[in-house]
Amino acid sequence: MSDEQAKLIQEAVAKALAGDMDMINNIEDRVTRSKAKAALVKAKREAKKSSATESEKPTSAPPVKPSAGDEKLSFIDEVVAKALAGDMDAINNIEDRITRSKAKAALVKAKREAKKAAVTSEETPQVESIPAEKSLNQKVAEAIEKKFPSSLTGDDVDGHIQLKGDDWFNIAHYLKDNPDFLFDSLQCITGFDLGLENDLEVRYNLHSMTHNHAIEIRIQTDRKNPKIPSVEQVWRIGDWFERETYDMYGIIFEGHRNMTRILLPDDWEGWPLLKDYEAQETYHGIVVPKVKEGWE
Amino acid sequence: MGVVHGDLMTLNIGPQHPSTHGVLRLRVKTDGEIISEVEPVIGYLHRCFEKHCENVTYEQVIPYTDRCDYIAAMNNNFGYAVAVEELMDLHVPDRVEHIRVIVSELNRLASHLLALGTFGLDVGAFTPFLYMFRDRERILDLFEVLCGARLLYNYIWVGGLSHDFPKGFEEKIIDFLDYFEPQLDEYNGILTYNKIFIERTADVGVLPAEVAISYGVTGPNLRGSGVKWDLRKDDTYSIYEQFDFNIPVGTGTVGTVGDCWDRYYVRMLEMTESIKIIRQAVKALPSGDVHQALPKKIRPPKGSVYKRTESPRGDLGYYIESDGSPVPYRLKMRSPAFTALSVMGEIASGWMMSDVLAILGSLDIVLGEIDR
Amino acid sequence: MTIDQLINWIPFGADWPATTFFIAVLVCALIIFIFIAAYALTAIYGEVKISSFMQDKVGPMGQGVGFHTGKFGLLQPVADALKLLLKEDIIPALADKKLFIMAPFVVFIGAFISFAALPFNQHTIVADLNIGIFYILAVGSLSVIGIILAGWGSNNKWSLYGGMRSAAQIVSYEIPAGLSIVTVIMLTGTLSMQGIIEFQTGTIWGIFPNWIIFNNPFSFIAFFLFFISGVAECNRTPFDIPEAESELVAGAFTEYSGLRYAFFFLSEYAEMFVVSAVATTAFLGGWLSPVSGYFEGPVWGLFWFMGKSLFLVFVMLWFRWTFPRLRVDQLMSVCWKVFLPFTLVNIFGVAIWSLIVG
Repeated sequence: MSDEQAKLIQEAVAKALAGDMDMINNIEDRVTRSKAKAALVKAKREAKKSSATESEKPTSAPPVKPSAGDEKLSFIDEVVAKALAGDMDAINNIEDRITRSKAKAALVKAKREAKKAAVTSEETPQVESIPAEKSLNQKVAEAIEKKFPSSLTGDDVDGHIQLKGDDWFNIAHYLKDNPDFLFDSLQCITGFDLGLENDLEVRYNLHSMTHNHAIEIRIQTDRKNPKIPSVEQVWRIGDWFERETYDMYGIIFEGHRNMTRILLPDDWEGWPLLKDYEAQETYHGIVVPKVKEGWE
Repeated sequence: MGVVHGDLMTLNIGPQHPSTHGVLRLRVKTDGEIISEVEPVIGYLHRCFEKHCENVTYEQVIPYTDRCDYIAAMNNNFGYAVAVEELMDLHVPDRVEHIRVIVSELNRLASHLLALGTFGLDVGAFTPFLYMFRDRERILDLFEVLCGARLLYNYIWVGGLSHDFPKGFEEKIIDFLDYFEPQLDEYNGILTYNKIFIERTADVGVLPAEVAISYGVTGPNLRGSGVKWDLRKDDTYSIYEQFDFNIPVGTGTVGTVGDCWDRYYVRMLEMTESIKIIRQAVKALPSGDVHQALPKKIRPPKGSVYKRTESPRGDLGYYIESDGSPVPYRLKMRSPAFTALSVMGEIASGWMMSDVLAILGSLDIVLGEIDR
Repeated sequence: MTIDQLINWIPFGADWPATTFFIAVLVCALIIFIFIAAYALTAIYGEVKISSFMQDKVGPMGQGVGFHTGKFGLLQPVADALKLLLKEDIIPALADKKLFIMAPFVVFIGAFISFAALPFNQHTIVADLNIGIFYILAVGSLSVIGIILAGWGSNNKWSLYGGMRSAAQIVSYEIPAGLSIVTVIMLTGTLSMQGIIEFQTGTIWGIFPNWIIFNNPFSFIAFFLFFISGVAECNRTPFDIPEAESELVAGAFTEYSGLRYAFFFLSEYAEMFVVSAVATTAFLGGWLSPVSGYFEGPVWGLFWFMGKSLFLVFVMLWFRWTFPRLRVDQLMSVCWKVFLPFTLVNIFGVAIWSLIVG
């Protein structure tokens, strides 16, 4: 290693420790760059060690000058606080990648804690950003509530609308024909198992070719006796999607004109995508392989 | 004069048949040459993709997506990676985005070449098929240089790529495009404007736009029906908004809008657009480290995402639900070929035997993706 | 060499005329069979190689270690033939055995006996029948019976489809083909193959050979009508709907394997040659040299006849590797709505032309 290189690396590592990774990343020569990174890692490790030893004997240690790292930490705290207050831009505008991701991680952590706190004590105010304009979900939800009262269950927290199954066929028609929404395209039907103790769910992703907007609708149904009205005659692709969901979850779509299995053979037993599915022992005398060791 | 009614004969086209593009079975009721009813029967290639995904980690899903649409594996990788990245709120470096666009558009070329070639084969033209395979081979060779695999690449990872471009790969791509662009004229000469080919495909299997939308038909099939809809423009993802390209739609040049010829020709025009995109992307390719943003461990936060991307066959959607563990809680793939095939029963009834196979060919299905 | 000359050669001809005749027929049949086999092998090789050149690939090549298929893949057709001979001969359990077994031979016989009236050169013709061209058209349509037998006997829906399509197609295209030949007969006034060729000797205005194709505008059109109808009769692309591999798997031949399939194969190639040879004889001057007065003689005659015929065979291969396939109703409408009116107009045209010019 030439002297120049060594000098460069030293400089870059020093800068990186001070929080400026650009210098390292901008080193053109691959070999030098990787060496510099290695040196950086080493330096960081040593710094950690020393701080650990320092914390053991706090009395003797002189007041440590607030390092660049500490500054960053406080900055992150600040940003997270802002984000929790609804201003995500503060995070997204951070230029340095690493800091940004750290901040995001911190945000997620903070949110989780906030949620936990909300569960334990109801007095804690919900930290939720309230958009100025009504989102599409809210609009759709309001429209449904107006037209089909008491068919909504739950709110649209995660960007979906939770519905009761009873009136689904009419709601589907309404959503498809309403000029404000015009959901003329059923993108996807996803069957869903909410867990062994819970219900089954079907999720519909609707999309409008005209307005170019999309929503997600979720309908829960009893695990023991899963039944949901079919929308096959609203969106023709519902035919095959519903058959597929039936095939995998055993959810019966009432009103479907050909409710048969589509991917699996007609005489297959059980509903494979249920979480408690056990494959049948034999199928027409062929042993169904179940030992996972072979392939997992 | 009385009308003679014969009995309908039930005929199974497939599962082993030369032009079912895999193991598809069409149960048709025929009255002589006229097909009065078509019912696609699928599931012969079902490999439990979704069940597998619930048992492997997010990284391990990628090879499975390869095997769904084995003709356009890059696009499948791409769609999956984009979906998981959205779930994780992960941003990838610019170089990665550019390379992703380049390889997925190259794969689109390869996929369209196969689609058009086999469509030609379905109507009895053998030579164009081999011409197109000759050129598809070059793309596969490029991919082989890139990642060692010819069909199942496992190249686009969540947060990055498995390899950077090898040295001089950009020039190879440009060389290929320079060679390939004039070939399109050759295809047009031997197949597109062939009188017999037009006779066989124009006005055949007309798919009206509203039927297409109701059946969830997407991609070139929808555009062939005259609907200007392309996710790369209308619900843009990755860096597609940076590129300048058009969305070709069917215009009914030789027949009706939405006939087999339109679906064929839209693909032909799309190849030109893909070439444009690749040229721009190669020109703008920035430097950088493609492994920079690769997460050590993929552990998306709780939540769900439904992300669609434009695969050569249409809207390829991934619905992913994460419960915070490294294994997807539920992964559903909305495959474009699945919806495209479902429209068969609607548009293929009433045509003749040869037309049914032409219509099937024009829909460009891949059974691996339909059955998953 | 006509069969009569052969009978005269045999020394004991006078004593046992029946035996002599039988022996002579056998000898001729053997020669024709060998010719067909040799020609088919050449044609298969040609088809493979020509299609390779058209499709930008190399085709069979004898490269690398070991025997492979010889230089330039010259042994490829031999290997193909051996493969077909050695393959298991499968008869489906539910097939109608008699018909199933009979079908390939019926098809082959149709193509095979047509060769009896083909004039290879000035002297080489098995039997110069006075109804030669009529005879060829008649026995040529025997093959359709075989294909229907195959389609029905296989007890397979695809085969049945192929058989029905084939019947409709061949029977339809017989008509324009026959009517195109009528224009020739009207000009020559003879049905004998040699007679038709002899009519074409000489030149038009001292430059063009006096072939029927150049005789008048109507016969010029008649040639193309006949040739295209002939392609359709051979079930070749773009008229190969009876065996359309992307629709009907292999049509009437779906259930056949081994030697029986080889016979179908052989007769397809033989029929191609017969159609080309008839087109050559009726329109292109048969064994006549294109330059009147030069390159004449029996060897040149054979050369010209084979050259012209094989060129037409090549054109058929060319069609096959270029065109997509027609649909069955389009095929029929081309025949009945285009070809038939044209041939009828042709007949009137030639008749009037003969009255005015000739």
